[in-house]
Amino acid sequence: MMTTQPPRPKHDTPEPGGNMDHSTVSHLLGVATGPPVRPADALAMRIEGEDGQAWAIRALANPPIEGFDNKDLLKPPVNLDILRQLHRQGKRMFHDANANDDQHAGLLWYLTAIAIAMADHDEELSSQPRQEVINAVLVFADAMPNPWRARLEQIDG
Amino acid sequence: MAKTGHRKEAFPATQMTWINERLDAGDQGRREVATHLMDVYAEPLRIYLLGSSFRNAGEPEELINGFFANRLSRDDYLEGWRASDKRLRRWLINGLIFYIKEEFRRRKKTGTAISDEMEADLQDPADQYRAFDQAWAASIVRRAMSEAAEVCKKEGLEAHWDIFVRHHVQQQAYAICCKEHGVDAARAAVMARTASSRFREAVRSQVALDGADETTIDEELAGLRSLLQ
Repeated sequence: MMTTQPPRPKHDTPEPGGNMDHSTVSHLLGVATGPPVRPADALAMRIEGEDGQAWAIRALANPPIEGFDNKDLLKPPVNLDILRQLHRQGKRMFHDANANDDQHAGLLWYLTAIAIAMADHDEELSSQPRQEVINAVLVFADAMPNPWRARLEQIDG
Repeated sequence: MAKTGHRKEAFPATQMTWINERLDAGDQGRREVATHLMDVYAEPLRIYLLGSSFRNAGEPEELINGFFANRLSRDDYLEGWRASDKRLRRWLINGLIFYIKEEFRRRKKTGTAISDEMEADLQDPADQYRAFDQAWAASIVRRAMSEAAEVCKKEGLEAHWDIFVRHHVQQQAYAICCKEHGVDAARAAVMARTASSRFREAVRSQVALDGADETTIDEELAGLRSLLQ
């Protein structure tokens, strides 16, 4: 986006109420245009919404693998086979979901498994480009409470 | 990172509902709407007046204050807007022009009429809408930035907001503005994206308050951007 706009003058102080030239106003209106399109954005918005963090904690307390204790995810390194199962089951939840929250929960597990596999084993469970995957994880990690946020951000370590 | 329910309070989910509820709530609600109108529209109206053939009709601030005082004291003025299907800013410009012309007639009756030459020059050329819309766009962006900054502060996202402003207003690369916050460029981009979502919501709320519905907001924003090119 920054390359599609003409250069804007630099200002010394970031004053939200200060005068802005037309180019800056246009750029900022562009930032506000269009819906967030990626599923990770939608997941982040769900977590940022009312009671969203409590919802995310509840979703993580209900793993798609029977008998699995989610606290184990906070103790690296996590078994890679387990992470592969979580990744697979999360993907299935996402695609089979009838309700938005079920879809978000599937994506939560899917991305969590990917993040921890990359952080603990440098293993890429997704076939998507590495940086895209990292960015998607960071987007929703930013909305999560700790210790989950810090754990997920290890993907970028 | 403390997350709270402040966003809902700051940015009502349905802006037309917000404005309609206040108009229906009696005097206090109407005052809240009036305050909003003066905050957001006074400066664009002043710029419109200065660029139009009305620039010699009087002090812009006096005319605009008189216009708001006159029209907003009428119970039916904003009801007329609700029934009109017009954007609020168009309704207000038209109202301002009518108000000024009424003032001229009043002055004629009281013997303080403006000159015939000036009156003949009084028009409302459509191209002056452009100056108004440009000023209005800047006004809603400034207001949205103030609101989003406040929301970010309440949510403990000051660093996110700072990176957003440095990147999107000051044009600093993430690789530069991340350093002050001890994060890398990728993390800075994500933080700016989080602040962007607050800003985005605030801008869209402002456009919705002007009378756009959710399906036309992107079109409105694109139209405003084209005026600013």
